[in-house]
Amino acid sequence: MGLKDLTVMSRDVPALAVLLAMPIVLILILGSALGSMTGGGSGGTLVKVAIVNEDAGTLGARVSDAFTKEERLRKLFSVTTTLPPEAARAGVERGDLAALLVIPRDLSAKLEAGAPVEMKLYTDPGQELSASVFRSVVRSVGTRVSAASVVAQTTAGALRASNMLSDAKTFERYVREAADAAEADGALERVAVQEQAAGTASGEFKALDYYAAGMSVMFLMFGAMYGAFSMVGERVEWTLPRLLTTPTRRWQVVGGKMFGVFVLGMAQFGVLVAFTTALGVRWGDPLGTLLVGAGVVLAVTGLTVLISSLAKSRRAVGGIGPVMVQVQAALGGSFFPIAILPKWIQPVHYLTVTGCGLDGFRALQSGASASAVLPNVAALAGMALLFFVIGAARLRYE
Amino acid sequence: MGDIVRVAGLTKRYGDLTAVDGVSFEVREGEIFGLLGPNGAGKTTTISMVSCLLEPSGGDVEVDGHSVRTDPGGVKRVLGVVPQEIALYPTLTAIENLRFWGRMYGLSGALLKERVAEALELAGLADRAKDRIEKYSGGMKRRINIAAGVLHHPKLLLMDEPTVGIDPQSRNHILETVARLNAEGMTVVYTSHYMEEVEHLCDRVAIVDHGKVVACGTKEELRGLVGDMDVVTIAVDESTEAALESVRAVAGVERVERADGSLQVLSRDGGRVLASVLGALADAGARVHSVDVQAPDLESVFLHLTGTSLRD
Repeated sequence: MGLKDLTVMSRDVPALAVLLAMPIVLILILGSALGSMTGGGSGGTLVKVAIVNEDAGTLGARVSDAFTKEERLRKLFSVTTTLPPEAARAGVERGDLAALLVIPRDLSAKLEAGAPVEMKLYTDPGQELSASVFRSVVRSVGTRVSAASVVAQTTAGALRASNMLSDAKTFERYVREAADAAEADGALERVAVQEQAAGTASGEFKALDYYAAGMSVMFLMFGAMYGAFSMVGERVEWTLPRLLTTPTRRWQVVGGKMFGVFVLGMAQFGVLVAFTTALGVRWGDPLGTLLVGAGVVLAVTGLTVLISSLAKSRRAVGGIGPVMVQVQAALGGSFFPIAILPKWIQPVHYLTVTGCGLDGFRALQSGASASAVLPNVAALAGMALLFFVIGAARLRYE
Repeated sequence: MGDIVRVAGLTKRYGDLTAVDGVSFEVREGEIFGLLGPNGAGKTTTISMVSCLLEPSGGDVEVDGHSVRTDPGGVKRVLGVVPQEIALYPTLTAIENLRFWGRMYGLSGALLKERVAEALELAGLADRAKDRIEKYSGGMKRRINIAAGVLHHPKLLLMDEPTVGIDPQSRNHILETVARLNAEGMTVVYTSHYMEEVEHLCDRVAIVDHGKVVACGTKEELRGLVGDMDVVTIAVDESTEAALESVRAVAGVERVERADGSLQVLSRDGGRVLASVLGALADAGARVHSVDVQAPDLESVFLHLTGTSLRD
């Protein structure tokens, strides 16, 4: 049954175009569009950010000055330093600003005491590419400030102890040793950046990566539509009644159809991953990618049975299928990061195949391991079971 | 030869509609049994219950000793089914379709290959085996549709209107195929609303109308129900209700029905009443094109029993 379906599918050129060519085209279009819209971090429009310096000492000002006075950074960012914290945060939430950096009151004090300290970064998920550029630079500046602080402390202490302020060679040696020691014991990482933005992961964001995952999940779901077309087609073209007059059992017929949908989905996923990888998309851990992909395809397989049970005709599949796919795609984040949706609706994405799948893929793209996405895979398997149980109970054979 | 099929009080209801109403008949091993009746008479519903596709609302069917209620698996192992519709995959080739259906009947390996070749030969389409079904004519599709039902050499073949909508050449091929399969020992249940096919093929016939068997027996037994009546078929350009009534009023006329631009008149003495019938038609303003007087056939039996024609 499954092999027959694969043969039938291989000859259905329009369906192949929808399942394979369409996602590739959309990945390219959306990936490119978002990249140009946000400047891609490569020049052009200045990225609007705010810095709120609450530091009582001098090191906070050095961080802030880096963005306002260094020519290299002024070409990248339009920095506002005069906004009160709440107003700046509201600007990020409205999307007026790509990010807000809050330098804590105790930055200088902690660094001078050799203690770790955190700067807070608020980002607008809708401008994630711009925010990611700012995030990278903030980390770099933080490292420089850490280094300067460590070097200054160590050198000053040593000079005080040896009373050799006039010896230039000794001064240089102390500075070099201090820098080496700072690098060795991780002191350069004392200034950490804590980011707060729902649904965003650390690491550089690439629109192509995002849409490779988002469109792949969405078009894998269209596989459910194709599967339902095929199942309903068996009924309306009388091959299902004929099958049911053979010694083949009902569960074998349904199982065979599901096997075909699963194999087709995995093949589709393999082609999409291979093609997008060739385009430079990072999928992350291969095992994790395979597991999440298999989870999505499994859920799609269950969805096939559900749609088939709801639709009496192919036309009905054509009505029900796209609604199920598009709504889940929108709520799950295939078209845009869900963080731009109203906060009350965002949790719904956990209930969608696209949301669970996309979360998993995004985590893997951000460096998570296969074990980290096992909850996503389990959720997808649960959805598959739920769809199948409801669908199988409603499925009509006559 | 014993009975391979026993249908007893078979009933199928859909809400208030009773599609099959207490149908009973037996099919003897080795015969071609016809289910004759107009469209909507309940033939397909009956066949669907015999083939375990529909669950009966009442009654039971035994096929080779297996009940459709308690042992549908046993029934299915004995059966081959040729549905009224072309139940094939249009984008697969004939050979791919036959391989698939063969597997569904449990065939595999060398046996499957052998049976597929045999089925293609039976259909007379071995040279078109690698063409997709969608490229076939209606008649060729029907032939493969039949071939897919006999791949596994079933003891009992159920054929539901296998010649609907095809050309005369393909129809003849199908009728010859059915006769050949029966000659090789296969019992066939053949449903049709084409009287000529049933008359030509079947050893015994059940006449079905409005979900009930109105008569069952050999062709001779059924013709005996009409007795020595003649069937007078009169082709007229316009058979008005007035013309119909005037013919009904002629002495010696038992029944009159309209069918496809003609009148069918049942009379115990066709030759004697013919002049009066033609006179009545002339008086009613109907123009007569041709007249044919025949001995009773299944059509006249159906007309006699139900008062209606078999034709659509």
